[in-house]
Amino acid sequence: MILKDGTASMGRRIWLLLLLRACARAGLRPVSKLRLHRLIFLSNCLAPVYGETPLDEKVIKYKWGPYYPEAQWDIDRMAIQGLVALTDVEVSKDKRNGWWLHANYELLAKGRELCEEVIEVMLLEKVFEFLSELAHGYATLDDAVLDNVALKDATYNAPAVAEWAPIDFSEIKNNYSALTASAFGDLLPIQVSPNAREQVQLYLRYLARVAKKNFVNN
Amino acid sequence: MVAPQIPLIRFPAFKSFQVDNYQLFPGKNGEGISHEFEPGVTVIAGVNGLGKTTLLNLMFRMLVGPRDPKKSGMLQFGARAHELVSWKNSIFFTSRVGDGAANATMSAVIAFGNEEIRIKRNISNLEIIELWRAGKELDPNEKQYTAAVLDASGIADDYDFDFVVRQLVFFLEERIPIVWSEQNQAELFRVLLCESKVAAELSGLFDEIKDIDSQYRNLRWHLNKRKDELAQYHGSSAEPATLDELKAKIQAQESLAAKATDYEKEIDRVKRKRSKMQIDIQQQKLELEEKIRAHQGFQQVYLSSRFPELPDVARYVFSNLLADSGCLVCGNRKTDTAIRFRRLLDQGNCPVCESPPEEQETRPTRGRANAQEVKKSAQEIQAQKRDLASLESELGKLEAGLLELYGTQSRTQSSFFQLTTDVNLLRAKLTPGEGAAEVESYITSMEKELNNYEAQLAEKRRKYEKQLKVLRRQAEQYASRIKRHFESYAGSFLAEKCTISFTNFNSFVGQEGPSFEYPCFQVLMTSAVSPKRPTVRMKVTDVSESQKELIDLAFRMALISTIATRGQGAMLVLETPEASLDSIFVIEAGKLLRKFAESTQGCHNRLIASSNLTNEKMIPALLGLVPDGTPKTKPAEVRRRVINLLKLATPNAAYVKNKKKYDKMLESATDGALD
Repeated sequence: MILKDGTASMGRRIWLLLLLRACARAGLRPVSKLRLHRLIFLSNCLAPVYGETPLDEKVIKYKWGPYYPEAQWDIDRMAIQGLVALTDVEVSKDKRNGWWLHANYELLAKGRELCEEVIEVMLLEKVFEFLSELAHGYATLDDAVLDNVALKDATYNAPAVAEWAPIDFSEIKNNYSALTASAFGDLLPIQVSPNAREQVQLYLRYLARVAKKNFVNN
Repeated sequence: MVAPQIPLIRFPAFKSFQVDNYQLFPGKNGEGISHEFEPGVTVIAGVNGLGKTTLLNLMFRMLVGPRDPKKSGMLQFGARAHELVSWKNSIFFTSRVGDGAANATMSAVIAFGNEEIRIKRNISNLEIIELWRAGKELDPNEKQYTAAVLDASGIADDYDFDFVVRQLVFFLEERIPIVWSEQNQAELFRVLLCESKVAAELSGLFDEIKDIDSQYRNLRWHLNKRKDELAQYHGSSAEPATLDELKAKIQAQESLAAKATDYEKEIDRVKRKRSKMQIDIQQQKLELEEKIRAHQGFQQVYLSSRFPELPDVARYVFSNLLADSGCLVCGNRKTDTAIRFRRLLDQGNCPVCESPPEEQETRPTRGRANAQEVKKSAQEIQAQKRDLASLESELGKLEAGLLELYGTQSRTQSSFFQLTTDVNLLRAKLTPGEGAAEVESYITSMEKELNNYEAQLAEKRRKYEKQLKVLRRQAEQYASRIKRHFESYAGSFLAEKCTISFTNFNSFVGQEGPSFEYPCFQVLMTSAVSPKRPTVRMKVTDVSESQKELIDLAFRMALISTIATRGQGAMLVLETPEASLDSIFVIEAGKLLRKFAESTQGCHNRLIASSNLTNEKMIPALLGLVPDGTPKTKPAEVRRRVINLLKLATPNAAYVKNKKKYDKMLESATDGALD
């Protein structure tokens, strides 16, 4: 069990490091805690578009949006280990949602070096390519709706799912995000059938449009 | 994508109901019972044995006639065909009276939205003797009635109409659950949310698949028998030792095949349990995180004021330690330094070198987060950590067990394959005896037939899945509305926070083949041990008796309110709603029922509830005679809203003996409004 937990944790830490590296390259730096968790979620549900296995295929519908306690521990550990910079720690509390500990994260030089190493040694080029495309697509969206995009995701925002209810997308038929992203191909002529990168980009733009619509209506 | 058509279902609602010449209900001066139902609540008041249940059953039979679903086990969604058969208990009404209900009749005007059907039935055999639709007289028979009802209600077929009346509109003593039965939910979604053509196709295909599946399994059994027979023919010319060995191996092979199926089922069960446990753990971790965050919040504020120059990272490390969240420096998640840290900080000492305040360069400022609050949240964290640890240990055991099961399954499979090879080798050694060719040809034709069934099943299943997609899409479209209505009803009577969450479940059609995915809701509710995080209540036993019924009632109302939103109105009939309620819930339940019946969206819902005088609060609560912030119902209206069986039914011994007492109880329950 220890080994298994350890392995899971290492896998998650590598995924997080690569995600932060991808964010930095897309100009998203530092990344707030809230945004980081939402990006982790998007990476989980869109991974199948690239044929990758996500870190986690279950998430709990939560008032702060998708949130992964284990990933939070890992990112904080890496901050102490000098791989990630932890800055702007602030405490806030609001009536509806209670306490929130804000922090920003950014990859440090040691973390960057580790990323290069694991990509090469562990053959993670494809994972990194996926995370880079995701971060890149995300970074091009309108700032005003950037943090709401994940909340409008087809899986997370499936109708009538109550807070604290589990959302399980381990079976592809329940991963509405990946299914929607793939469905863009059905709308276009066969000659311009979108590849995985384009599917993710189109999907993110679609989410941004939905988020914007809500933003304007509110 | 073309949006699926939204069906227009109109629920049946009594505008009037009349019973004549039935000895159980002689009425005043032998006039029987005649009642006009107004939108809102109507109460059938009585005591045990006066005929409340019989009157409700008359109403029920008026709508569905003398038929019942083929399999009466209504909770067994997968075990019945969508078919109605003759009512078995046809002496239900005749046995209650001395004259066999020879001249007894019942008449009603039933509204379906703006449409009306007028019907009169003999009570003895439920035969229709008069039938009118929209002022036009029709041939008085069940076929005409069914056609009129289906057309007026927009429901696909007679089985579905019966299902809606039986399962949704009437909530009689058996209390057939809806929200607590995924299958019943799915069936109702099919009937209510799908266009009638799709609804009919789904039920038709369901029955066909079950039927073919049954024939297929039957034929396969016979085929296997024939194969055994063939081995006998072959064996007639073989060495007895070889034949015995072959028989033994075939037997072992069969037993292993049965074991393999059992292992598969067990693995599936454990995997489902594991998945639920994993979700529990995930939820608990999130809840723990929330508690830690609150604790860290308190501590961060304090640490910032106490050590203003402390860098973010250090503060983060300290607040994690203080909140029992683990040591970020070494990665140990089970540190027990929190108490020591808290003590040091309480004394104003440095948390790192333990120096007292007077020896520190920066003099500490006094004041910290509310000590009680901090202590309480620390205790909560500890308790949650214990729960989580025990859950994780359970999960560990479950995973170890699963691993073992996989091992056993794999060994069983290897043995099975080995035996199959042995059997084939032994069979090859045998030479055919007399009569083998005939059996062989029979087997070949049976195999062809079996293949034919397989092809049919595959085709039907494909079509079924296609229509199920429509059902799922329709349910998705309505899910938010159903949830909103449910929360509104449930919120008005439950102290705990209760909601429903849209999800799906898998079920088989027939005994074999792929499982299908159906839409459903699951109930989530907070509790004393989990006051903030609502937990999933999968089974009816996960809630109290009162909660079970009220939640189901709220779900029915939510469904009806969602479907009947176009000013059509609906009816809900309840038998003694107070029967399984704690007295504390009675007033709340009354409020809930009135809320539904007085729905203001132009729906004009009707709610008919029978109630026993022995519960003193239910009738006043239903009639709006208890102080609940709304104006008290006027006496004239109370009179219009009560069917008083003390006056209309034949008095039984209990009533005769306690007449004064019961009359007084009714007078008190209705604020003296009745004559």
